[in-house]
Amino acid sequence: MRKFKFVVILAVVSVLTLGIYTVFIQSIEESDFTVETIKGNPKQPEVRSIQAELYDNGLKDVDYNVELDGHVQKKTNNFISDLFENPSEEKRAPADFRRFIRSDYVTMLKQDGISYAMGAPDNTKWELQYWEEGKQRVVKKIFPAPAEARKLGETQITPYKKIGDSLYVTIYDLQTEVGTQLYKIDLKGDSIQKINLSVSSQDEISLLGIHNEVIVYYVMENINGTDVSKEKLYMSNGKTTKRLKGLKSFSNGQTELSADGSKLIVLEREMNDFNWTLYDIKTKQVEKHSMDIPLVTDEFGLGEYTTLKDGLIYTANRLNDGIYNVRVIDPLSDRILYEGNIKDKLKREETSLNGLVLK
Amino acid sequence: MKQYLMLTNEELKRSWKMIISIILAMAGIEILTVVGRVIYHERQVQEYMSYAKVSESDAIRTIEKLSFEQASSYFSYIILIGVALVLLYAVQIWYRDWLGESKYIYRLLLLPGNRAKIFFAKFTSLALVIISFIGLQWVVIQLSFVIFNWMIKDDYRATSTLGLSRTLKQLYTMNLVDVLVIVTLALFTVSFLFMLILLERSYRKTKGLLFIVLEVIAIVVIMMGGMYIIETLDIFLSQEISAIMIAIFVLYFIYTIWKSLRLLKWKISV
Repeated sequence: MRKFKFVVILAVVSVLTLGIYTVFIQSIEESDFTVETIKGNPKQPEVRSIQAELYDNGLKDVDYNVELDGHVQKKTNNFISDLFENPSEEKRAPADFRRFIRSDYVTMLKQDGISYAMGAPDNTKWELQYWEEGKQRVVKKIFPAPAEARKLGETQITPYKKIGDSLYVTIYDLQTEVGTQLYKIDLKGDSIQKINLSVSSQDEISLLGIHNEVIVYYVMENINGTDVSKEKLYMSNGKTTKRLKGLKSFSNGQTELSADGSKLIVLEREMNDFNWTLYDIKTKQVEKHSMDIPLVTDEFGLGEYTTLKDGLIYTANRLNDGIYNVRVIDPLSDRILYEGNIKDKLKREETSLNGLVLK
Repeated sequence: MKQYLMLTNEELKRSWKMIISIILAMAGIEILTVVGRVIYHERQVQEYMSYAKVSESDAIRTIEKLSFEQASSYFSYIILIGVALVLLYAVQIWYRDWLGESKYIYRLLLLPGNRAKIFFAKFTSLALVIISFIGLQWVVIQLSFVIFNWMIKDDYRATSTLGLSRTLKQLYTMNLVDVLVIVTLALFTVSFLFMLILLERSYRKTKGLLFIVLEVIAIVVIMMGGMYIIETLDIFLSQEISAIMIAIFVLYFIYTIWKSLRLLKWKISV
């Protein structure tokens, strides 16, 4: 042993010091989450798909996915796992599909567990691939680009929504960023139909919703000779278009057509102001709503996440003492469908809310 | 095995005073920077109190409380100096055998048996120094934190929990797999340096330098060319690219060791 004295000393120092480091790592406390339901049922369809993403930004980086039924998934990363992680790629999807969606020209829509990816490799053809979560089969379709779409330069196709057997897609010229066109793709009949929205080729349109073949959208119209643009709200069935008046500031927050197609919901969230406006498409009446949301600001950010999806408002807010309040609100009835508190038993200040994932 | 361990021991013995001095000097400087930062912060508060004629709590509010993260902000620079010294040691461990008065390398080369043990003895010495360096740095951080908490007044301290600067958090990610990755990268650098040194010792002067330049160009071409081909082909998923990069790294690591052993066996003569 004496012959190897220096080797032994350094080996012992290495083992001991790394041992101290290991013991320290083991001693770091990690958040322990429980979910307390205040209102509603965590198993109801609107709530079942919600996951709260929480990050521990302390010494040990830990990501948590908390489902509202109390199930918690914990993940720690390292240099190697970081190399093999890419949140933008569908991890469980077949390799062919993952290869397709990584192309620059492909955009994706996830709806009801199906991922629709679409792109135009050139302006003569459109490629569509879709894949259902948990299945290996990828449906691939190639369509000749419609005549009007070919007139545009490099185009960006964005799948917007699937209704029945139809997939609605918007396309616009990537270079000019105007000239948006809307198409309906019949997935059974493999045909494409252009929907005329009666806008000039220079206008930029944003879709707000589609219901029973009626499309609600707004247009940013440039006032000739100036940099000023004006927003105008329209409703179209593809044949006739009607201007919708009476609703202001629909582009400031998140705006969406309600599930029954009767109202537009405009959600505006700023710090502690939690407001939404309902605009009745038939009567043109505007109703203002608000709700008290408890919110604590902290050094790690606002600790707040709010989104409007499928006609419902989903919001999560950090309260005192490691509590995250989650609510699902029906904006039409002004009713809280679900309210729950995600509680961190250890009340770790380093843990912060990243957002809600709606699967 | 016994001869390899004895050679490793000999390598460490010859550098022992230097290793201990550097470790102690680094630990001493690090602890002193924390002590100095606490004293300086306290003095700042006191000076502000007498200058602005405000209470201690108002002065702390203006100057702001001190965290260990701030007090240890110089650690990353000292660690960088440590890394540079380890790299210098990787060069010195070979050249001292040639450049020393006793020409120790002749004794090493004339030892019976495979010359690979000379290479691995030096490589193991460096590995032990690197691992001890990482481990001891952690102990110094812990010790500095204890001293920081002991020295600073409670009202002056931002938080009593251990916080690390962003750079230190890159080194101490609280994940043992990352320690393994860092040690592997460090050993790759050592192995690459060993190969360059043995190239120079094998061919000497202009030819030696030429081979070094060629090796460096080769690795740059492999890296840049690999990345260019991957981007041009544009067929790989990011996970596949990562796997290819790791495979290239492992193969090149093996190549550097193989090349060094070959040079030591066939090119370096007494």
